[in-house]
Amino acid sequence: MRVEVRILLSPERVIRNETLKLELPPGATVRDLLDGLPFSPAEKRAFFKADGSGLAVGMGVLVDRENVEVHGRGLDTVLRDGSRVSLIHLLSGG
Amino acid sequence: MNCYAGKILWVDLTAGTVEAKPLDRELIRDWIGGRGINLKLLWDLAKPGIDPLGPENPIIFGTGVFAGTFAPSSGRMSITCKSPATNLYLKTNVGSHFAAELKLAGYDFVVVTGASAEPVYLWIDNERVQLRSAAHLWGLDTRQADRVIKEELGDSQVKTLMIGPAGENLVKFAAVMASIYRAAGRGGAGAVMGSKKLKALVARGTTDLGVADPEGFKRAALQSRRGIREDEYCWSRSFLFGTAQGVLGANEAGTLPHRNFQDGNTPGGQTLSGEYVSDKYAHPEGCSACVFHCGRFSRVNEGPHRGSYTAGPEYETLSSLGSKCDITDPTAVIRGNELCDILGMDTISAGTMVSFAMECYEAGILTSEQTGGMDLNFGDDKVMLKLLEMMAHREGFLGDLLAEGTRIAARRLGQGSEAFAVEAKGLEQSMVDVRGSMAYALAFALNPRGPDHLMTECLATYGYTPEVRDLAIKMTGTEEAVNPISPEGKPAMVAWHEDIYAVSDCVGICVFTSTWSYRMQFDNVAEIYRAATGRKVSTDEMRRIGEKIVTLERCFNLREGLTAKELDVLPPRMFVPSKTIRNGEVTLTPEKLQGMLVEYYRLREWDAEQGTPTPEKLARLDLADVAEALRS
Repeated sequence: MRVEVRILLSPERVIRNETLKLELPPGATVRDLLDGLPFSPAEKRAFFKADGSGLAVGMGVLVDRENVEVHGRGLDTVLRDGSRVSLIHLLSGG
Repeated sequence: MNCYAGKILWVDLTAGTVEAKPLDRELIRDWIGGRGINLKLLWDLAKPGIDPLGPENPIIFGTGVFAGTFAPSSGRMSITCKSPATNLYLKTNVGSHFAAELKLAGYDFVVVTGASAEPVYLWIDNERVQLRSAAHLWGLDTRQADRVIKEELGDSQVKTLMIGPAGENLVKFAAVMASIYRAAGRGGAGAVMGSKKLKALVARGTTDLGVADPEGFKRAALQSRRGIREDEYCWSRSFLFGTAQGVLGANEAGTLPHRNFQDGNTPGGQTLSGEYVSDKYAHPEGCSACVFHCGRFSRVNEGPHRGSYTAGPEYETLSSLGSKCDITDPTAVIRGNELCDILGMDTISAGTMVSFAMECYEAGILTSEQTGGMDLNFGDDKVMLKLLEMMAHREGFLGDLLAEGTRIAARRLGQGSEAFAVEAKGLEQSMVDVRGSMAYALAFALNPRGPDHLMTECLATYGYTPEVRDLAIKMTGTEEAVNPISPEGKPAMVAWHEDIYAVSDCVGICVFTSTWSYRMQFDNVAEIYRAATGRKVSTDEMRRIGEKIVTLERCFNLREGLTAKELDVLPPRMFVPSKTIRNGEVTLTPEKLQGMLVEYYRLREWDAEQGTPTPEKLARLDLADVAEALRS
C-alpha cells in the first residue's frame, strides 16, 4: 500500500516542508512507518524520547488529520492505503 | 496598601476635570484588582441600555495587582466598558509596559466618563495629571501620534495607550494600542475612546512600589518564574515561534480557518507558520516582566512589502489576514498587521471582515458597483490591504459597511449573507475552529464578550505534555478531557479556565503562565498575592473570586435584557460540517452544545433551564444586591 508522509518540522527550528510517498506492506503501523524513515541523529533526538520508546514530549502523529493518541491506537495504529501521515507539535492556539 | 498604588484617577471629560481618589479597601477585598475591580465599577456606573458610544458609557483602565513587580509576566492590564460591537459587557486585555508605568505613576485605575467636545489626551506624570489638547494628533496614525507626543513632552520613555484613525471613525472593532504595537483589540474599546474624543493616555511613573513581605515575594515569584522556564517544551516553543507555533499543527489537523471558515486546511499554508515567519522575518520581544517573550517583531526586507515592520504577526493574525483570506504570503500578512496596528484595528475582526466580503463577492451578493470595481477574490493580498484602509477610514460604501462589523454588514446586505457572518453576539469569532474542539465550542458560546479564546482558552484539552494531560483529567474527572471532539468533561474544563482567567486578569499576569504552561494556578497566584499585599487570601478564596467575576459578567449581560438562549450561541457556520474535520462528519450540533450548556449551568449552580445564576447562588457569592437588580 502507498502512504503519504508529511515531515514539516526540523531540529534546526526551521520548516522542512517535505512530503514523501512510501510503499508499505499491508497492516503496517505508524511505528513501522517511523522506524523505516531515514531520520538523522539530530531529528531522532528532537522527535523521539531518548530511550526510543515513543514520541518526545509535545510531539504528535496525525493520520488523515486525526491524532492517533486520541482517535487511534497510538503508534500501533494501522495505516491504510492512501493514508496521510503528519508529524507535528500538538500545542495549538493563539 | 502594599503592591497597590492606592489611587483611582477619575476623569470627567464632559467637565474637563481630573481627580485622584483613594482606592476603596472593600473593592480590593471583594474584587482583588484589574478585571475584577473594573467590572464592579462598570456594573455600578453603566446603567442598563446605555449607548456604548454615548458619553454615559464609562471606560475603565485597570492595572493588575502585580504590575510593576517581577511576578511572572505581570505586565498586563484590563480595559472594561460596554462594547459597541455587541452592546454587551466588554473586557479587553493588553500587555506591553503601560500597566507598570501607570502603577508606578501612582494609580491602579483610570475611570473615564463623559465626552470631550474637542480631542484631548490624558498626560499622567506621577502626581501631575493634565488633559491636553489632541487636536494636532487627531487623524494621525498611532506611530505618528506616539512620536509627536514624545517630542512635545520631551521624553522618549513615556508609555502610550492610544487609538488610531479607526477609533476616531468609530469603527466597531477599533483597538486600543499600547506602545503602538500591542492591542487591546477585541470588542471596539477604541471606538469608545473615539466617541469621547480621547486620543490617548500617556504615562510616566517614577514612584516606588512596596510589597508586604519582600523575601516571601521574591521567593514565590522567582520560584514561579523558574517553574515556567523549566517547562522546556512550552517555554521554548513560545520563545522560538511565539503564538504562531500553533499554525502548522492546526493546518495539518484541518482546523486552521481557511476561506472564511469554509474548511480548515490552506494549501501551502506552511509559509504562515511560526517556524517559517520566525526564521525569515521575526525576532522575540516581551512585555513587562515577561518570562516567555512570545511576542514577535517582524520586518520585511524584500519583495512588494519591503519596508513593512510591526509587532507580530500572532497566530490569530496569520490566520485572520492570511489563511482565512486564502493568502499564504507572510509578508502580506505582516503588512496587514502593520496597517491594523497603526490604524488601530483588531486584526481578528478586521481579517474576518475581509474574508466575509470575499465570500459575499464570490456568491454575487456584493456587486462590482458596490466594491467600486474591485474584484474581491480570495487569495488577493492587494484586496486585503486595500480593504483594511477603507474600513479604518470608512471610505466609500464598502469601507463604511465593513466598519460596522459582520453582524450589521450582513443585515444590511441580506441575500443569505448572514450564513457567511462568522460572529455571535456581534463579535467576530477568533481563529479556532470549534467544530474540532468541544471545550472551545462551549467556552466561545458562554464568553460574555463573544466567541473568542482570550477569556477561556482551554488548551488543556490537547493534552500536549504529560503534566497538562494529567491536569485536564484532574479538573474534569475523566480521561475524555483530552479527546477534543468528546463533550464529556468539557463543562468542568470551561468553568476551571473561566475562573483562572478571571484571577489572572485581576493580578495582571499573562494567561500563558496560567494556561498554556499551566504553572501559575490558583495556589501559586494566592501565594504571591499574600506575600505582595499581606492580605490573607486562601487558594479557595482566590478561585471563589474568579467565579464571582464570571458570574457578575453574566449578570451584566442579563441586566441588558438578554436571555441565556440569546447569549449562549455560536456562529451558524459552526454547525455546518467542515470537510477537513473528521472527514466532513457532523461534530457539533445545537443539541450537543445545549447538552454541555445544561451541564455547565448545573456545575455553576445556575438555573438549569433559564441559564441564570439563582438568587441563592448569588447570595453565596456575596452578590445579593445583584439578584435584586436583576429582579427589578
